Amino acid sequence: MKGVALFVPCLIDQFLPEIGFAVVKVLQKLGVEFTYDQRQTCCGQPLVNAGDSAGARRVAKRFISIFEKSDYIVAPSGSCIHTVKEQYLRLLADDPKWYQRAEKVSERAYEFTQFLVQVLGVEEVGYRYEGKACYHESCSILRQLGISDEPKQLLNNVAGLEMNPLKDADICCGFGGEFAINYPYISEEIVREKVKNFQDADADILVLGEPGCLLNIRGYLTRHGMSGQVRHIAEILAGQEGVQA
Amino acid sequence: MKPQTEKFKELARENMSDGTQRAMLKLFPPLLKQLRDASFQDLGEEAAMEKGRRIREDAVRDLPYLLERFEDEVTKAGAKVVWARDGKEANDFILSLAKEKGCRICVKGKSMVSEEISLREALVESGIETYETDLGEFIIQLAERPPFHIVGPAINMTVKEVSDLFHEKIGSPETEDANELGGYARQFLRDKFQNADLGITGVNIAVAETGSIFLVENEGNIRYSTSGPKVHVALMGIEKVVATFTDAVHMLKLLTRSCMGMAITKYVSVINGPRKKGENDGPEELYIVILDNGRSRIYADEMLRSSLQCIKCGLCSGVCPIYATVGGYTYGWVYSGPIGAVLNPLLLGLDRARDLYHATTLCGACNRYCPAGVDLRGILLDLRAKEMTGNKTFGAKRPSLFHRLFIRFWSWALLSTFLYNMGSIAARVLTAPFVRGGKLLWMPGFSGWMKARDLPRFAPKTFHRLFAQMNEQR
Amino acid sequence: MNTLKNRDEILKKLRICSSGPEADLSSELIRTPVEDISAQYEAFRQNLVVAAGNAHRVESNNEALQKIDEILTGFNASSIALSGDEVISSLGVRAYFQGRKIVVRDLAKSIDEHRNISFTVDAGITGADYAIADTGTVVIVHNRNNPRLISLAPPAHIVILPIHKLLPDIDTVIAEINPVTGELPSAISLITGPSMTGDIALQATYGMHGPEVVEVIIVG
Repeated sequence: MKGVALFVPCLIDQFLPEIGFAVVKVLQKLGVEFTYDQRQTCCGQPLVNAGDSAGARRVAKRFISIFEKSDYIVAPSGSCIHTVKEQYLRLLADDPKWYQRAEKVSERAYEFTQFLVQVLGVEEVGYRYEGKACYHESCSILRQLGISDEPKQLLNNVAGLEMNPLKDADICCGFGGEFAINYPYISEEIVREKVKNFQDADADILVLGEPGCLLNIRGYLTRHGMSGQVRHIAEILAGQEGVQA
Repeated sequence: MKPQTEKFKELARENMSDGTQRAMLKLFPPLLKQLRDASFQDLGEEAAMEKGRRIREDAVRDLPYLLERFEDEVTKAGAKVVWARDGKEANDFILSLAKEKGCRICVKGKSMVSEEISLREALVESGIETYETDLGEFIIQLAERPPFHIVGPAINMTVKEVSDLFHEKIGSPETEDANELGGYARQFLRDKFQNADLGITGVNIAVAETGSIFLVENEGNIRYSTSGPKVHVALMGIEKVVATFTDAVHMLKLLTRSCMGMAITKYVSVINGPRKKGENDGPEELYIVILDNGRSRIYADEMLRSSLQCIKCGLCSGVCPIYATVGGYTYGWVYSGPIGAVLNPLLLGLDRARDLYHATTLCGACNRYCPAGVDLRGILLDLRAKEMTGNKTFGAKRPSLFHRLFIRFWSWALLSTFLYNMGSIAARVLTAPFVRGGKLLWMPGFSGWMKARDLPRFAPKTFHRLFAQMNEQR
Repeated sequence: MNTLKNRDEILKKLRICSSGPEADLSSELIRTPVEDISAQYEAFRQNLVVAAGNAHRVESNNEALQKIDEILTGFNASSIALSGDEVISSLGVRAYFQGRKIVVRDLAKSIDEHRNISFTVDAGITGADYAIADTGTVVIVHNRNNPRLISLAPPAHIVILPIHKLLPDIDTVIAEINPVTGELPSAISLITGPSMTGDIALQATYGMHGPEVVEVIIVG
């Protein structure tokens, strides 16, 4: 498989590089040749959410210029991919030339698990991960991209991993980007509920596909000294031995 | 209704510490969702929802033509159609009509649009005895409170609170039995139903093809309001019309399921004009008041237009994590939940209600469950974009200079790998003093995060850097 | 306020952004065939019971009268009002209750009399134009013989209708009513069991404003 470009979301780049390396490890295991364009910065989602359409448009054009020559653009984040697939089209709707280029990129953008299952046809990565886990369905992955079966399928096939139900798995964790910063006490209530459901589940590990959700939920657990690990699905698929970072 | 949308943060705190509200919010939305899901079993959810979205999208697309046709048909049936640009015109008309016809007692069904324009208050002020007849609305009218939820305006009030309220306001005996309380309200209002000479309702669905209006309820107060009084005024926003009768029936199916998890409400009234000659009940005169009140301005904006597809079922509130935490009062005006976060700012001015469209995680559950295809999530983002540019049409005020500079700086940093990498280094250097035990204790502009949860320190090296180094070693 | 001027102003604003109409303004009528009438009745009965109402199937007018008697005795009714529905008229209710302690009021001649009767009797007895099996609903098309208040104001509502009027679903009923070509009545009421509210602390209360008792007798 050629022409695969890896896009690493800014939150992972800045706070959670190990997730990026987990993705690398999985892709290497599956024999996928990929490129990592060092020019990449961010998809511009924070600007979209802040209402800065002009700024987001500039960032979108840059992203498109960097990635449009690739056949596949893969990112371990649903919100980034959604931004690329949907928001870029909206931002560039009035510019026919750019819109065309955005459309091309939109068709080629994939969330990580979506890429593994739908494009590579992979059902099992092959690394082992021991433990009891449950899966949180991040809003952008579930609702904005319509991806639910793929991550669950991959997790169910991880040797050593017991997947158990999580109550209200499809309800938001309360991150919402600027929301968690600007409305902390409302956000806190929502994440508290998510954590409660995690604690009630028969699982030590909460698996999810979205770095924002991860920082949010893990941050709440550590602040309150609660047990339980939060892991990005890439980290699970990359196996218990971990990654070199 | 008087807006309090500027007080969102304050109201949120207040309502979040109200135990009965929290208890009802833990119970009601999940229950409603369960009932809603179950009620869709016999309908084929995906196809039915898709059809509903199409019907409303097409109706809004063809709106002026449908309104004209609706007017033609309902006028042929003997009704009179009145057009009002804003609340003042609508209220003035209804008041002068009531005066002309000598109406002294008015029974009113639930109507959100009437709350937008404070119609009840205007009637009361002009000396007309006016009663909200939907039990939930009756309770909040007596209690002088805003609605807690679009469908259950007073469900958060305990039985005792309602008993005390009725005891005080209508002189009924105190009781712990909800049934008895219902009975006292029934007794009180029955007399009004019998003697009212003006009935005012909203409109759930208006039909262009036939000039019909559909009204749904469970109690019977709307049937009374549209059968007893000699004058019936039906108040509707311009967006309430659909093309055909069968379109209306389909939306009816989605409305009752989304609203209450019911295949059909206890009563559905399909009204096609005033009473016909020889009939002994039904109104002598039917007036349809078609109200703009800011909707045509919304219509003109392509991004906002889908908000007019809303059929006011309230399900978006039921699935919204923010609503589930702060409750209906916090939204500070007629509409609550996601549709409130969209309509309150659009109708009142973005500047007066900015918290409403900022206090959202954009989770998209509302979009997923909306039977009418309102792009709530997209509109919420668009409201933020309109605020950023200080959109005058919708009363937005640009954020502070500092805020705009910060965003501008951020966006420039993302346009250059060099700046981005420099920024990464700078962030690590500047936050170094605030790192303890692998956690970042403080960062300017992000202190809200730290109030509720930990943030890890910036990773010593970014993925960028680490990956580059890894490849250099090869 | 000049309503015509407002009308033009509002419509003009909307027309600028709308190029239509594209939709066809003609209802799509769908009819579901009635297969097993007994199964239909059973579905109707079950759905009405879930809605806190009751259904009965009888074979003749006589049995219908007996059923009415049973129901009225059940809550000690002392006065009833009849609609002018042809089914009711042909039942012979007045004759049946002759000499009994039940006052029978026929359809009133004047608006005031009709209102007084509706608000004072213990039960209203009406026909229905259709019944809907999959929701337990009865459908009344209002006209001078079938007024509105009589099925609303009395605390009990008894409906009699022949079984051939029982249809599978609302779509089929609408097809029969035919909004495409037929002239519509002043109003149509779709009634599914007794009136209800959950507005006080979500506790279900029946007989909120409309009847507390709904009994449907299906003949045939």
